Amino acid sequence: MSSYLNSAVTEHRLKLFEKEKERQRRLITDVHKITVQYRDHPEHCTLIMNKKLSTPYDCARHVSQLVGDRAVLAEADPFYANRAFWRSCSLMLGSVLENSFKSKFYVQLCSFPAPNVRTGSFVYDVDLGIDWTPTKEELRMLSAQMVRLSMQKLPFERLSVKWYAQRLLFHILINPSKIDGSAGDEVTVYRVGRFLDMSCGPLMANTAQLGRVTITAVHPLPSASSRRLHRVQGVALPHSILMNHFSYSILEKRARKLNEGRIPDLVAMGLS
Amino acid sequence: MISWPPTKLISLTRLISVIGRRYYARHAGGSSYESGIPQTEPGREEAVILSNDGEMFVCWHPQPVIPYSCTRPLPDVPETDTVLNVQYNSEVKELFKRQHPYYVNQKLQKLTFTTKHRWFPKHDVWAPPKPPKDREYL
Repeated sequence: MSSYLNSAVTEHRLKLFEKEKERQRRLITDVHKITVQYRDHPEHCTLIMNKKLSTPYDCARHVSQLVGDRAVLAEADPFYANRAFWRSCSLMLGSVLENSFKSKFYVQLCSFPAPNVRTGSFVYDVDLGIDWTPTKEELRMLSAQMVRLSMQKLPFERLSVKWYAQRLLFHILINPSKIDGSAGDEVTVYRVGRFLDMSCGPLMANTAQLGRVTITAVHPLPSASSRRLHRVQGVALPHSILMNHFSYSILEKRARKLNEGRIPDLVAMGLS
Repeated sequence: MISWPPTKLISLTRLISVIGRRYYARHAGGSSYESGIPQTEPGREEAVILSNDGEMFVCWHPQPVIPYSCTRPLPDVPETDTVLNVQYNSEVKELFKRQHPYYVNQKLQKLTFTTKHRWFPKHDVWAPPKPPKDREYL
């Protein structure tokens, strides 16, 4: 049992995020214009956008509302779009896990391995503080939370922060397993709803792009330290892809197997 | 003489502040003295007063205070051994179901107090013609 509350930690993180965002916005004092060439459907066009302020998403919204709603990345290769989708699903799963447990459990998110669609499932490794074998209903409830999150149509907000700012966001917040994984000057922090997480990105634009989703399994991970991590797995389809329920059940069955992604080494992180 | 509708609004704020102060004194733990406003129901104070100069009516209808004796205990939540803070109920089950349009329409009718006819697809008679008519007079 821990004396920390997930809700209080979330609150604190959000406050720091807002502060840092405001600070970065103040750094841009004058607006310069840049031209952006768009060569794709429905028509080629040239857009005049704001330097350091406009995002590819803003450009897509200028082109047409449909492109703005449906475009996942500003990148033509579906390989990257798939990875972005899988990564976004992991992040959303983290958000669901942090919010779905009773307040007496302090859920500490650890990390997720690099997205690999071939493994058949997206993953989040999490320290629940208990040994948990979920029932079918509980897994279904987690899936329902994912569906609810996607129904809210929340945008993924991106912010690059310097190392010290990242320490502010995560280190004070007693989530040490989050900071040691990556070193370097700048890290990217993503916000979805009230949830914050670090990820190299890119992620998709909106949670509404998640279609069918199932949380399939929770596996305890072998670990040399006293902390016990659980690997939560799920499978999802983008909103625009419809699939027969039989084919989807094959995917679900596949996603129940333990994902072979890299297992975080807590001892190497300095957590025993 | 009382003129209707009232023309003066000078004493309105003063009156309300006086009544409000009395109300506050009574309900927010201040010195308790009688406000003289009758209770139409337990916890509900309402009054219509004629102002001193006889030029307007003032209505006093603050948010009613519900006495403890009129409250009911909260419904019992069935205790389960789940570690999650969400219950597995019909609401969750419905998230995964795709409803037939007939039942969706029925719900919409109840929500909007309309008949079923409103929810059938209708040919749009006012849609612009395709191809558009050539109207030289415009």
